[in-house]
Amino acid sequence: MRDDHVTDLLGPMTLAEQLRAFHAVVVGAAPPSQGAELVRADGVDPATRLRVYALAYYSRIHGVLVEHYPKLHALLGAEGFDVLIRHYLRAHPPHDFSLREAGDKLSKFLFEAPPGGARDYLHIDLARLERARTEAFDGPDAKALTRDAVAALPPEEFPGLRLRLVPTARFVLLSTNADDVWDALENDQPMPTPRTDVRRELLVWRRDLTVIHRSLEEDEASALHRITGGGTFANVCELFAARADATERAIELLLRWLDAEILAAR
Amino acid sequence: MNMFPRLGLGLGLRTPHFSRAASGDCAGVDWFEVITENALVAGGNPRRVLRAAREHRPLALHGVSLSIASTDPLDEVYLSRVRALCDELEPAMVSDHLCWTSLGGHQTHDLLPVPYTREALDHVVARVAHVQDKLGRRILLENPSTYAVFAGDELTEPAFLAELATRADCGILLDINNVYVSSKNHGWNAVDYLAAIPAQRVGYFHLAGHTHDGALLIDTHDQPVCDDVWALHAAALARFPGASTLLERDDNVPDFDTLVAELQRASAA
Repeated sequence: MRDDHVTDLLGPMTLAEQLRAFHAVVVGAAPPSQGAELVRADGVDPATRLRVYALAYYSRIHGVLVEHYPKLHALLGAEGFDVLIRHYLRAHPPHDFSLREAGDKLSKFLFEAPPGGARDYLHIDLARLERARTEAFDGPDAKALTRDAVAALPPEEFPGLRLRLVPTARFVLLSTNADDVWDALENDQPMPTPRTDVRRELLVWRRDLTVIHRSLEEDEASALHRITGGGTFANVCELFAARADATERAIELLLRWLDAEILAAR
Repeated sequence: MNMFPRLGLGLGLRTPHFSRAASGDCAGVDWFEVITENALVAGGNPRRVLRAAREHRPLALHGVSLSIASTDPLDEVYLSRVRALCDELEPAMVSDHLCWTSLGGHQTHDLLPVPYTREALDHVVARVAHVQDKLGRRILLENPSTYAVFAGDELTEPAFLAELATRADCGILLDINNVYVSSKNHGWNAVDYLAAIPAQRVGYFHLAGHTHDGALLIDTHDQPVCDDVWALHAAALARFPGASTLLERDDNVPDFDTLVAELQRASAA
């Protein structure tokens, strides 16, 4: 707010000045009492009026983040999650027109500047998993590649076949058992002992309208990365060259992916 | 003569009622209004439902992120995406709010009040013209619920809205509950408010519930429409006879048939 004597000299506040002063109160950069001269009282304390907007700003975004990070919310508890979100919003105020993106930097924030200073890798992994699930929920639609479509291919085309993952597919690399924690919270089961000695890769994707995640076997993860890198089916098979059952393993994985609708139709 | 299509009785489409809208099993509802931003996703259930719903009923798009009164530049990417959505869904009407939601690139996701000054009016008129050019259609702007008005205001809210609609050649989405809530919060006369609005510019009405929070009414959309707002709706129907009516409910959402029954009260007004 400008002082009265400044207003006398410069005239009324411009639109930009009014919005800046109001915005500062809404996002908590200035206390509601500081906006007392900005708005009319009309029988109600101006700070009370401004507090409605400040509260609405926080509660709307907080509500959406509870929806997007339900397991992290459950793990931290309402109070812990509230502390996290207040710190997060100060560090990463929303930047996108869609509320869907309001929590897009939460795992990054937990890694770089967790409230209290102590980095918790279980929280970070859980946030990354939940964000990937949110992205898959309303990610692009795609028809899945079917067994019939693959069976109809001439055998000579298989080595050069370039598979594609459905566009909602996302890899999430964990250093904790966050997926076990997610499962326990989802199924109302006893919480597993947190572990930080894990290296586990998950695939998140949407099958029709259902978001799924599951952990990948090591060679399966390598094969899927090779596919996303543009490799052919022959390149994928090279991964299993040292195995006695190389062909069987390649076909086993291919059928698993087809049945799970992980691969996109050509 | 009203310059917008007469759609009848509509319902704000929310997730709990997706299956009814998509199936077409929605007797008593003539049209649906969809939150624009909820439809601006790449795929999944929301898009599938909208494509199905529009086979059965007309749709209107209602945005919350246009930020028409902000001093930030308009978000051209957002406008392009809304235009593409309009091309796909062919909505009967497209609306947003007379408010601002972002400043300095910081999205508040809240409908913040506009200073009702001559400077702001000129600013918003120019931006509405740009939006309408970009979207290739006339838009409607909704009067927000407000809990504060700026000390430096030079016009009343209805005078600002009326002059804006006339100069920018846009429509008005007249939220009857918001007229009521704002009138109570600022000591305005709600009937005088209606009288100041140009009749031919009102495309449709919003109806919703509110709650009492100490000295202020809050536009919470979590209650049935109260009797006072129904009475104001009846007055609005008399003044704006061509306008359609839409019922909104965002929290504490009852089942579809309960909302439809509440909506029917609008036809009896």
